[in-house]
Amino acid sequence: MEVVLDRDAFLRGLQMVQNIVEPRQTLPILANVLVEAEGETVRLTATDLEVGARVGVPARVASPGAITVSARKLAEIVKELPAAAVALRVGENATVSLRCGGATYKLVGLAPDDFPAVVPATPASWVTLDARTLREMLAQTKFAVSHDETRYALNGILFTFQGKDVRLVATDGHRLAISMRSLGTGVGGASGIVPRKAVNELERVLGAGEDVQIAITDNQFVLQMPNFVMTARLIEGQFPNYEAVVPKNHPGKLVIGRSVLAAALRRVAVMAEERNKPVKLTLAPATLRLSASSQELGEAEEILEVEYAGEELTIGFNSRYVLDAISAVEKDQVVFEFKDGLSPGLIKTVEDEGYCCVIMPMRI
Amino acid sequence: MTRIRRLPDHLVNKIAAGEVVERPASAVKELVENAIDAGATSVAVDLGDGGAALIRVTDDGIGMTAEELPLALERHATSKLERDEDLDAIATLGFRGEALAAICAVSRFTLTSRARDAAGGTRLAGEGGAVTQRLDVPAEPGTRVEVRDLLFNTPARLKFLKSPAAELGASLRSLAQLALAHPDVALRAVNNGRPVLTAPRAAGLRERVGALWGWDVAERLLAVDREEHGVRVRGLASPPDLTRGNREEIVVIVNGRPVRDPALLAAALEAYRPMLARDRFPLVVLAVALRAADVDVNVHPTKAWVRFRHPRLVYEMLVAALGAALRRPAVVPETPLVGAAARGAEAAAAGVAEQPALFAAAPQAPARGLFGRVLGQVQETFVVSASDDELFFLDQHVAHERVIFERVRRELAAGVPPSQALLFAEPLDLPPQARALLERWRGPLERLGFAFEGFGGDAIVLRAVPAVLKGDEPRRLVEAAVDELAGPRAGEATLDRALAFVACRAAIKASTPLAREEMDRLVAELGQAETPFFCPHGRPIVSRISLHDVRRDLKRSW
Ligand SMILES: Nc1ncnc2c1ncn2[C@@H]1O[C@H](COP(=O)(O)OP(=O)(O)OP(=O)(O)O)[C@@H](O)[C@H]1O
Ligand SMILES: [Mg+2]
Repeated sequence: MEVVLDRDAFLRGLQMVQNIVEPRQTLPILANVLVEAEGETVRLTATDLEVGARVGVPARVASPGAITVSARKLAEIVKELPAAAVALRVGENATVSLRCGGATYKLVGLAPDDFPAVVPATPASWVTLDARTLREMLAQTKFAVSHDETRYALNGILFTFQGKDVRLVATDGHRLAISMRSLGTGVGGASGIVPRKAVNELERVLGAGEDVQIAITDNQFVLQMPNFVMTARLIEGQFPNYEAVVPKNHPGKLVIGRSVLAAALRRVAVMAEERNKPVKLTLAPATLRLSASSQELGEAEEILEVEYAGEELTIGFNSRYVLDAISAVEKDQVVFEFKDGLSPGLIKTVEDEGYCCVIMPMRI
Repeated sequence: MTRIRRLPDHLVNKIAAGEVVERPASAVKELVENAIDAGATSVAVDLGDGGAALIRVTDDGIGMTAEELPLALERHATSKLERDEDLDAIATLGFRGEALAAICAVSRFTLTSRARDAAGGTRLAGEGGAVTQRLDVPAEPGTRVEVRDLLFNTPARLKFLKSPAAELGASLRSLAQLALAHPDVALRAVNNGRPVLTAPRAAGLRERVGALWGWDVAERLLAVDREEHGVRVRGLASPPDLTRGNREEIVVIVNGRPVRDPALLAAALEAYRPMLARDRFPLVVLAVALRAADVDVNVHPTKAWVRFRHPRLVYEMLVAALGAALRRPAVVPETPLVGAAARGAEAAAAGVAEQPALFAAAPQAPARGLFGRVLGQVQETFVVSASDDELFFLDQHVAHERVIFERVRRELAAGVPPSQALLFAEPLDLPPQARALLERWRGPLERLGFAFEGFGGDAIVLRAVPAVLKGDEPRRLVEAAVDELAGPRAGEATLDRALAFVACRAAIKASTPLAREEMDRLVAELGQAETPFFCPHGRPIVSRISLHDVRRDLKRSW
């Protein structure tokens, strides 16, 4: 194998797949990236057996072939190289030599035969949406994904395609975030839980503009963009019946600027206990009182004039949950809905823009 | 003729004896007490069949003159109360003039005594309280009381005696307690010719404990010493990871007298709560000293009970003294490496004399907090920190457990600890036994922030969990709670136990890499803890290495 690539394109390609490689590997070959040369492209593939990604980089291929080399080292090297042509050649015993300007490297590679195949499923239909929308939907749900490994069904985002709707849902058992968008066309019917790692990778590779295609098959999530494909094994497990816990007709409605609420929450939470940052919200017509106290630290209180219609009530929340929920929206005004001090709170945007977050209260 | 008759003297004595002499052990105790009251420095006890056949107590005390000896045998004859007021402030173990008369009333006895400055001794012998023989004999200064066939003339009581082994056990318990109360008196006991207790004259309590309970035990005991409001509590107590299955090694001594006071015992146990399971007991010897006038010893025929003028004060002092000992750095289970200086200080506190150093070590300013500065983490399990003179290995899990335990306990004292409601109420399918257990523990668990619903109905539903545990899967959490609370260490449903469970679950696990800031914070918080050296289950948190010893090992003398 012998190829010449443009350093910038090479680096961009590497950066799109490199993160999939886990820092600690049991199989040495999984620490490597698969480099394949064919036609006018060099394809770079990385996988951790759960998530895999492949990117195509334009190249001059003098002789086709394949090799695997340490993903980390290769990225490290290419990052330091000047913007020039990079020549890559595989020699005897899977050694890889790399030249760029006056710099040469010899890398110990591994034969490609043992590299696990990354085979994207061939879904019956694709859902096409623009990268920005998908990005936004991920941001509106990702924060609620559970980090508790024992609750594996909650360790990812549930993707649901139904009618014309794409819906993303995540929960950690204390809060629930839903992001929904209606597309102009039918999207078929499918659903699956996409693991957190794939979600992170998605966010990394999604650009600002272009359209992307996604699909859910029996056991795979697939994303494709020009010259790029990513696959992720779906999490097997039962996602909880989330629709039942979304409150429908909460009578109390607080309308507030999210930056105002966020700033006040942060100020008050300074005096809240570190782990859960509990903050108490006391609502009365036109006022919101935020308070926090801790045995060791002391207490804080802030009173805001707000638009609130509903009964007087006091409710406690993990302020981090509230901050997460409101920072996921773009418009400044948010609606925070309540029933009483024990029922879940619901955060939405003023006009329904397909986002809501349910937060369970804390007894403080 | 009247139905009511005056009892003849011998019968009166026999009845009175019944109160004082229950079994051989009571006679052994009375005789040794007399020896100690007589200022003996050495007491030898010879037993036959655990005391049932023979009790012979020989002392080197002040002895009795030929005139005094017959008086000693009489009821209500004592040298220990001279004035009426003396009864209000008793400084001796005996005071009633009752014991010797009682013992002799129910045995075949021989008393031999020579007063210190007398030329020779006197011997009285007899049985059933009557003296049948009186002799002048050559004798060593001091007293020997020999009692055979105890209770021979009270068959009803004789029947209740247990096996010689059991009687020996009881006698040895009494002897051990007296030995602990008087370390400066040499005490030896022999049963059927075989030594059963050897306690040479000791320089201090620790030495005495070493002779009685073993040196390995004695070395690990923590020094207790606290004085306030005219009450001084001194002694030794085991770290919570050194325990026994019974209370026999909890000895409380009041003004030199071992006492059996349930409230004092409870106070001692209280100080260890919740570090010990309900079926584990510490080893404790505490000598309580207070003004003789503040304690009434005249409340029980065997003098085993006392009454305090300010009982709460005494109990609280006991708890406080033990609590302080359990919190002090010197309490940490010492590795053999622990500094000789520390040991010296502890020994001094326990009253053990030690060769003082020529140049006293300069007192060193503590290096930031109890555990100094964090150096790093070892095996992703131990946080290593150093002060100016010690290196600490903190077990991150138990350390964090202790920190959380105390924090939640403070929250509890102030109100309710935060509780996180669950989005998806968790139905719990529990087998009947687990269900019953959960029902029993429901109170404490709900105080801590769990919320259950549906007891009595079909399925129990979990609605909320303590906020500190919000990261755990709710169902597993309850399963773990049922497991732990059903365990042999759980005992009855108490808030502290439930809290210990919560703290353990919420704590960082072993084999978890920690960031610098996390370690700094953990070490700082632990340093502020009330009981920084043991986790709520009684496991030690810290292992220490003295840099003094490191220096010595490396032959660095500066
Ligand atoms: N080993 C001894 N050495 C010297 N004197 C003794 C000895 N044993 C007894 N006596 C004397 O005999 C007296 C009577 O002893 P006894 O044990 O009957 O009464 P007590 O010790 O005064 O009071 P208690 O009945 O509370 O023990 C004592 O007060 C003491 O003077
Ligand atoms: Mg006496």
